[in-house]
Amino acid sequence: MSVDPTALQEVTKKTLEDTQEKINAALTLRQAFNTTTTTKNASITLFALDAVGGPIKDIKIEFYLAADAAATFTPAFYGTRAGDPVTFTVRNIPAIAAIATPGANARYFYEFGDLGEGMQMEFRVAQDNNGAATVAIDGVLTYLA
Amino acid sequence: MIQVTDLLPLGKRWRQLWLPEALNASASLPGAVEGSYGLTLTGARGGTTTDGVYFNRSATGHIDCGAIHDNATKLWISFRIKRDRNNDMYFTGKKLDGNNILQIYNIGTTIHFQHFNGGVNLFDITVALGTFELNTWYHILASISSVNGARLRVNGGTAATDADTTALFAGGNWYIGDREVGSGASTGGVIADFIMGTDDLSTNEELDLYQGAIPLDAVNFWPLDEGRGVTAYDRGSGGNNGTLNTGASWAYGGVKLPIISFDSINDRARSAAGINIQRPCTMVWVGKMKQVYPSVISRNAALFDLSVDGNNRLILAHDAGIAYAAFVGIGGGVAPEARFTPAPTIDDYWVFVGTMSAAGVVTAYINGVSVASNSNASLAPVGAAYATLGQNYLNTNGDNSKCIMAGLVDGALTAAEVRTLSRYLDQKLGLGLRIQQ
Repeated sequence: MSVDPTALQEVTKKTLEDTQEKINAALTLRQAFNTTTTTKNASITLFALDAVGGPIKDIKIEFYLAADAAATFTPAFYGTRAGDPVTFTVRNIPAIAAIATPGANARYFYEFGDLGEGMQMEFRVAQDNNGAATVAIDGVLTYLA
Repeated sequence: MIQVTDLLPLGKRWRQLWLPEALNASASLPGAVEGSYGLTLTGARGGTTTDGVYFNRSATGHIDCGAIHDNATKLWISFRIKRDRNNDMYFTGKKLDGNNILQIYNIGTTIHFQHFNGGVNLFDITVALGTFELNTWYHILASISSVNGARLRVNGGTAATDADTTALFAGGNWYIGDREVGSGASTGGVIADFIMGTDDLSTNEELDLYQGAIPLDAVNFWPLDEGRGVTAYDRGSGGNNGTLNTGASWAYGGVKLPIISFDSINDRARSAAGINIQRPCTMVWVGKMKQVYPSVISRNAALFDLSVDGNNRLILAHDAGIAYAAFVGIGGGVAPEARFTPAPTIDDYWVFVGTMSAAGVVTAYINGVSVASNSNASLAPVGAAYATLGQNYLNTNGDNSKCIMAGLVDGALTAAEVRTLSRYLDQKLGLGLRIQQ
């Protein structure tokens, strides 16, 4: 039995294209890494995301906080809304507990859920007026887009 | 589910990767792979791939830029406009009252630039286009000068001039999309890249503006790329942010993505030093082009610069000296350049890739196609580099093209691998380049 090489090339090309299309349609797991410090009596934005290009799903944040025997930290998700796409308001559902005097190797994990197309979010961490002037924090943001 | 790291072929990984969707409050951009350096933004902002602002020809179809340029003895105005209807309309202007008006408008296929001052019609200079196509971009450049008089150019063509040297009147706000609130003949269409200055433009600056480059002394530059909200940020020295009224909205084409917005004047995004640029490696930059890199532009423009110093660098840039865009590797005392001629048009999307092999071969690719190659076996950049987007490592040679992503791959991608990656990015980002397998 002979095989038409041109037809075989066409089948191979079509298979490759189909595979490529499926990959392209799949959500991609993306990450962001941030190493910085919190500041006494101030709030920092540890991570942010912009969903102007389409929905971003399954947003998760994990961070490490250096030990501090006196400071309290308040993590909070902020987001915009459809009617006001540039103003950030608190979106903590459910409520996020404050972190009082983190000990050694303190790790924290939060889930934001999904971000609708056009929305923006920020994850902020505020330090109260106690503890060290700056406290080391590093985190990983993961999401599907 | 696949990971961003899976986009690369086996044996390759990202040394550095930046995705502007994670831009943090227009201040910093974390790295997108473990070990990647974050970028700190200086002047640069988060933005979008929006084409500009759409004006719906209603009484509220304008951007109010405030009471600026009163009594200006010199003033130039540059913008691009794409009409969506055949009406006569005011594109921009400033009006104190019926006796004091500076305005740019069209009657039929003729563009007018007119100055009334104290009830006197000082000039009404015109450029007749013959045809004034709908849904087609036109570049309009107008100026008044106490030294050189008035001037109007469209699409870099022959300038219409008038000898009048009268300064601008005082009073009235500057509007984009109209000359006042509710003139009854406001713009129907999209306006983008609106720039103003208060000096005499040189011949090179006029050419630069037509070709997308912003003069370094621009007083007002509204890129109109925010893509959401009602504030149009002025990136020039004037700092006169404009406010969109309800008849003005953001105009997206087929692509809707977050970007890092640079003004090409003094903006940049930069990492700390520490990036390994030893061969083999591959630079990747994806974005919306805002300059056309012609043969006679007056200055260089750096899209993506990885530099230890002047002797150890990798650059994706336009080089005025060689007239074209290029991928340049510098190291070990040699600097082979992969120069190429295909220049973009404004608002094109480019997947710009530069590979540097283990043997010192540098190759430039645009949208998956190899466009130039060069080699020198001595090419061996070393040291701890820092990354700069939007300028070069010396904080000069700005480029206002809009960065959608940038990264450095560990290893030199083959031509087939570059094509596959470019095709993936095209489809995943929806750039519409239709890169073939």
